[in-house]
Amino acid sequence: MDSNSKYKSSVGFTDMLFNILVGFAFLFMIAFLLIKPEAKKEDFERKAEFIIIMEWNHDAPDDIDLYVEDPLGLTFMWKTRWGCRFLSGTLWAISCTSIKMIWVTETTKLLSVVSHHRLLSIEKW
Amino acid sequence: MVTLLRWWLIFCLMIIGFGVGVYFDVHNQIYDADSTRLSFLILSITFLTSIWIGVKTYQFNVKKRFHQTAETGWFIAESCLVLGMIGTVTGFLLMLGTAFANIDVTDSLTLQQALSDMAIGMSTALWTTLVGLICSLILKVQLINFESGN
Repeated sequence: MDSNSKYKSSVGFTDMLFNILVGFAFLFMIAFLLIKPEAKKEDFERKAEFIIIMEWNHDAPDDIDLYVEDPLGLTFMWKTRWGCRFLSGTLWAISCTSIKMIWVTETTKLLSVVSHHRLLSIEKW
Repeated sequence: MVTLLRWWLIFCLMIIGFGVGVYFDVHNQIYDADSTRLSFLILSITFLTSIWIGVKTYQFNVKKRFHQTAETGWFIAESCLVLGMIGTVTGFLLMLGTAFANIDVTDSLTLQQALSDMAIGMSTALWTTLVGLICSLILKVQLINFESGN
C-alpha cells in the first residue's frame, strides 16, 4: 500500500452518503405514515339557530336555573345542575361546569335567557 | 523516544475520552440504539489495535528493532470504516424490514410501534458510522505518529 492510498479512503464519505439516504427514507416513511384519510362527513346536517352556553364554577354552592321561552309560550328550562328536561327539537349538552342548549328548529325565536337575573351569552350559529 | 511518548499521550487521551463517554452514559445509549452491537466490536478492535501500535512503537524506539511496518494497522483503520458502513446498511435493512410488518394506518399504536422500529434502524446506522469514523481517526493518528518516527 503506497502512502497516497492510505489517506484517500472514500469509505467514510460513502458511508455518510448512505446515512443521508437512510435519513431521507426515514422522513419519507414518517410522511407516508402520517398521511391521514379525509375526515368522514357527518351523516346528517345539523341545523340550529342559536346556541346558549352557561358556565359556572364547579365548586360554587349557588343554584343555577336556565329558562328559555319561545313565541308559543313554551318554556324550556333547566332547573338543577344534576338533571335536565329534554324537549322536542332541543338538544342539551351538559358537562360538570357548563350547559349548552342548541335549537334544532329554525322557526323558534329566542325571547329570553335568564340565569340568576343575568343575561347569558347568545351566539348565532 | 518522542514518538513513544506521543503515542502514550494519544492513548491516554483516548482512554480519557472513553472514560468521559462512560461518565455521560454514552455506552448505554449505544447499547440501546445499536441493535447490531457493531459499535462495541469497533471499539474493541480500536483498543486492541492501539495497544498493538504502542508495542510496535516501543520496539522501534526502545528495542531498536527497525524493521517494523504498520500496513496491518492501516488495514484495520480502514476496516473500522467498513464495519461502520456494514452497520449502516444493516440499520437500513432493519428500518425497511420491520417498519411495515404489522402496520395498521388507522391505529395510532401500531404507527407508534412502526416509527419506534424505524428509529432503531436509523440509530443503528448513525451510531455505527460515528463510532467507525472516530475509531478510524484515532488509529490513523497513531499510525501517522508511528510512521513519522520511522
